[in-house]
This record gives sequence, structure tokens and C-alpha cells, in this order.
Amino acid sequence: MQPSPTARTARTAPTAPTAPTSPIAPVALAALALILLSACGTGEGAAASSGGPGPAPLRVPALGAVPDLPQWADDPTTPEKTQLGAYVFFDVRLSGSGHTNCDACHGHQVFFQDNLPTATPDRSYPNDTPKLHRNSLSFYNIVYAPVFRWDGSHTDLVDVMAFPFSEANMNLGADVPSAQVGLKKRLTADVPAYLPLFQQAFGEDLTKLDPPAVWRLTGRALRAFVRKAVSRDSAFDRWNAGDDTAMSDAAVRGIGLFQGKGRCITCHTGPFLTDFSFHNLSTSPPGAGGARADEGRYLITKKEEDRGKFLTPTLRQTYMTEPYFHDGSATSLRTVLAHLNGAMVTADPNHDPVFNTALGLSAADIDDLVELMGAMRGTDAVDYSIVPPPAGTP
Amino acid sequence: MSFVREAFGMGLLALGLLACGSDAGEGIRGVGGEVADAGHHADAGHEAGDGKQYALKGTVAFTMDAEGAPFLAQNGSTAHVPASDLVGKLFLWVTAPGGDPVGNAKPIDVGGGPMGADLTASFTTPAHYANGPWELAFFISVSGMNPTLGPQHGDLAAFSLAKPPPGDPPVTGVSIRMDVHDGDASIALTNANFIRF
Repeated sequence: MQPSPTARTARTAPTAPTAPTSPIAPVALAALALILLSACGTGEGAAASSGGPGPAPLRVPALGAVPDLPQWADDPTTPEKTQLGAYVFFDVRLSGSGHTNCDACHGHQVFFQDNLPTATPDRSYPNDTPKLHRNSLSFYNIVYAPVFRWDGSHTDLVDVMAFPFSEANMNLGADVPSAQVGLKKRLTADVPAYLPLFQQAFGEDLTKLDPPAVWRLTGRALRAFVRKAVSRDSAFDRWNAGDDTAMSDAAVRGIGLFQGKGRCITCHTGPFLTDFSFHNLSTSPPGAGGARADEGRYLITKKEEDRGKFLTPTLRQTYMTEPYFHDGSATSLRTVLAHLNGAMVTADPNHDPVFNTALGLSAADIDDLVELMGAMRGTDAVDYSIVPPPAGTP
Repeated sequence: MSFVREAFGMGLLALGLLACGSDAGEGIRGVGGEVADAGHHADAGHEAGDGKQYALKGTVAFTMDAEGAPFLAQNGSTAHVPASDLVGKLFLWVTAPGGDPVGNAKPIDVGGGPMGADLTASFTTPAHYANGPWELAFFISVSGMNPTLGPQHGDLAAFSLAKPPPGDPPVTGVSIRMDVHDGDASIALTNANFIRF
């Protein structure tokens, strides 16, 4: 077996992508709203509009480029907030055991996730069991998302940033109120060096705030920091904008499959290659007693139709974030595609109807789709300018 | 979700058999070999830019403390593994192009063998690697579960988060980066290179 080339360069002009031939579900309103909002982006990092002739139409308009970073009028991002967020993100002293941090499960050097099926929570330190029951999602492009976590339990980025302090992940309390008390104690009494940093970033004296307010400020600092977790300007984006040389032949075949036979675009649509909605792929089918190991979205909505549904993950950078599915049970993209392509995808009676007819992908088709997802990796997606503060800082 | 792992396992096993079908002996070295000098380097001796392909070589040598062989656990703790849980357990290695996680890239070479009684192992790939970065995934099936399913709880996997040289792709988090430069590249892995699943 010979080595594969590392460069993914196109060798011939691509063919025009084919129109979808499968039933296409309505695009989620949230995704549509994001597409519309992208036209109004004002953040850093992307080209500003010039007022001149617009760019050429995209080959696949439904899969547009990642927009400018969002700005929050009530909480503008500042260097002080971002630096404070970095301190919090990496500070093991803010965990229950004093040995773990956000970076443990959302490693900044490995695409803001951990490449583990499920993570080991802080609660059991120093024991390395048990495991959390869901796979750590990457933070990439999280600042754009309207809904968070596999079950969509959160819709507020500030809230979801702070929430792990109340879980086994960071283990400052068994519930949010107790963790809020614990977090205030850590930031004001245990590591008082945070007091001037919060004062500088937010103009607030943590000692005079109640625990829920401290919680929110901490979440806002983390929200500012995770603006660094952005995946954009992939080879696919360049090809989509008209660069024939940006993707390999296999990836170009893959985008045809993505829109056609593979039906991927049904759920993986919009600039973030997700509809930010929930689908049942029979990844947690009912057992002998009728119960699922994880009921997913149902646990939040209590709607029967949501049983076994999980959030559609982004495909940007997903090539690097193995393993996959809500429980990390699929160790590769080929495993995922084999599942979607096989009979097991309809094992759950509540499975998504898009799979009522088999995809019929060949092994070569699956290879092409994997190649496409390799081309959906962003340029400079790992920001090596992020330097964890030294231990004991601040 | 065991069916998913099973599917992966069959796939990896098939890939492994393909990779090793004609040169398995070349790709798998015996265990318990001598430990090379520590560090990560490329041997000199060949002209640059000659289009030649070289081998990747590696050794593994674990040390023990009073409680067992210490390894990093995912929550930051140290997990101790008794020597009896390591000796004779199967190690598996897979190579892939630089920047590609081995699970998604098509593996270039696959090999394995049992861990030695002295907690060492070694391997040498076929000479398939031109100058540049390559990925080496290496794990030890401590759990004894089917190793073709990928690392299971209790298994050990090597990883590196070292910042790559400018222009090289980001590290994968699931492999060790090996750079070939005009010669066989070699690496010496110790406890510190592994995480316990």
C-alpha cells in the first residue's frame, strides 16, 4: 500500500454539482436566520464589503461561507474580556478537584474537543472512572450557533459556557445554584486575583454581585474567548467560490453526492453545514424493554416525536473530531456513513424519514464523501497564538 | 452502539490485513527489543529531494512506580496500570498522511504485536514515507477487547499536542507526528506519551 498524497489539489475542472434528487426537508428557521444575519456581519476576520461588484455566485449557494463574527451590542468584545476568558478556560483551580479545566474536554490544540468517545469528569478525581455519557462537541463556530449541546438543552451561549461548572465536568456543585455559589467563592476568595480582572473587563466588583451575576459574567468572559474557535475558509469554500483548483477530484465528486444520492445537504446545510435541528438516526434505538439508552432531545422537550433525536453537528472541521455520534460510538467518518447507508439507520421506529429509502452509496462514494469532509477543514483552524496562561496565573 | 464499533472494527481489520498482506513481516517487529535513544529525530544519510521513501521506526518503554505504570487520565489524574495488565497485551500501530486522523484517512501501513515482558515494544514500517510529516497512531489493548475496534476504556493511546513547524498541518490529537527528513524517522515513546482511555 502506497502513501497517499498529503496535498489535496484538484487535477481537473469540476463538474457542476447536481441538484438534489432526494426529498429535502425544510431548512430550519434558525439556520435561515443565520444565513440572513450573515449579510449583516460586522465582526473581525473576514473581508469587508467594498461596495463594488459582488463576488461570483456560489456553486452551492445553500452552503455559503462562514460569515463575519457576530457582535453583541450589549456586550462588545474587548481584549480584556477575551484574556479573562482565556484565564478561566485554562484555570484548573476553578474546578472542583483543582485538576481539570475547560481545555481538558475542549482542547484548543485539537479543534476544541477531545477525540475521546466520552470524557472523564472531574467528579471522580483521582479515579478515572466513570465516563460522561455524551461525546464532547467541538467549540468550532459555537459563537454563531442558536442552540447548543446534543439535546439542545441551551439556547443562550453565555449560559452554556458557564453550565459545566454545575456538572460533573467541573464539579463545583450538584446543581446550578450551588455551583454558582461555588464559582463565586473560587473567584473572590480562593483566587482573588480574578477580582481586578473582572473589574477591568466588566467594570464590576465580584464581591458585590450575587452568585448568579458572577456566573453570567464568567459565561460572558468565556463567550469572548471562544470567538477564537472559528473554522472558515476551507478548500470547499474556495471551490464553492469558483476556484477549480481548490479541491481534489474525489472531493468534487463528493459534493455531488452530498447534494444528491447521499442526501447530506438535507440536514448539513447553511454556512455551518448544519440545520441546527434534531434528527433521529437510530443511534440510540429502543432496547428490548422499549427504552432508549439516551432519549436525546426528548429529555428537553418531552415531546414523543423527539425521542432519540440529537443535534445535527457541523461538518466544518468534523474530519478532525473523531469519534462521532452523541456517544462517540462511531470511530470514523466511514463508520458514520456505513451506518447511514445501512439498514440499522431505520432501526428506531422514530428514525428520520429521509432514510426511508436506502442511500445506496458505494464504497467509492463513501470515500469521496470522506474526501469532501477533509476539504471542509478550515484554514489555520488551530490558532497557535492561544497560549495557556502559566499555572497559577492570574 | 456496539454495531457501529463492530462495523468499524471489521473495516479496520480489513484495512490492516490489506496493508500487511504482502509485507506483514516487514511491518511488524518483535517485542522486547532494545530501547533506542530517547527523542524524536530523523537519521541522516540520504540526499534531500531525491524522491526516496523511508521507514518510520519506534520503540516503547514503560517505567513503573510503586503503584504500577503511571499514565495520564483524561480528567488530569494519574492512572496506574499493573505490569500484569500490560505484558503480552496487543499493541497496534497505524500510519497516515500528515494532518490526517488515522480513522478518516486510509491507513498506509498497519502492524502490531504483543507487549514484552519488560514493558517494551518496537516496530518498523515499510519504507513508504517521503520527506515530510506523517501520523503514527499507536495504542495498546489493555482491556483485552477486540483491538480492531479502536481504543476501549482502559486502553492506552499515544498522542502529541506539540506545535508543528510552520507550514505543517495541525496535529491530530489521536496520533504522534513523525517527520521524515532524508532518512528513516524514529521515535521513542514512554509513559508520558500515552493517555489512558
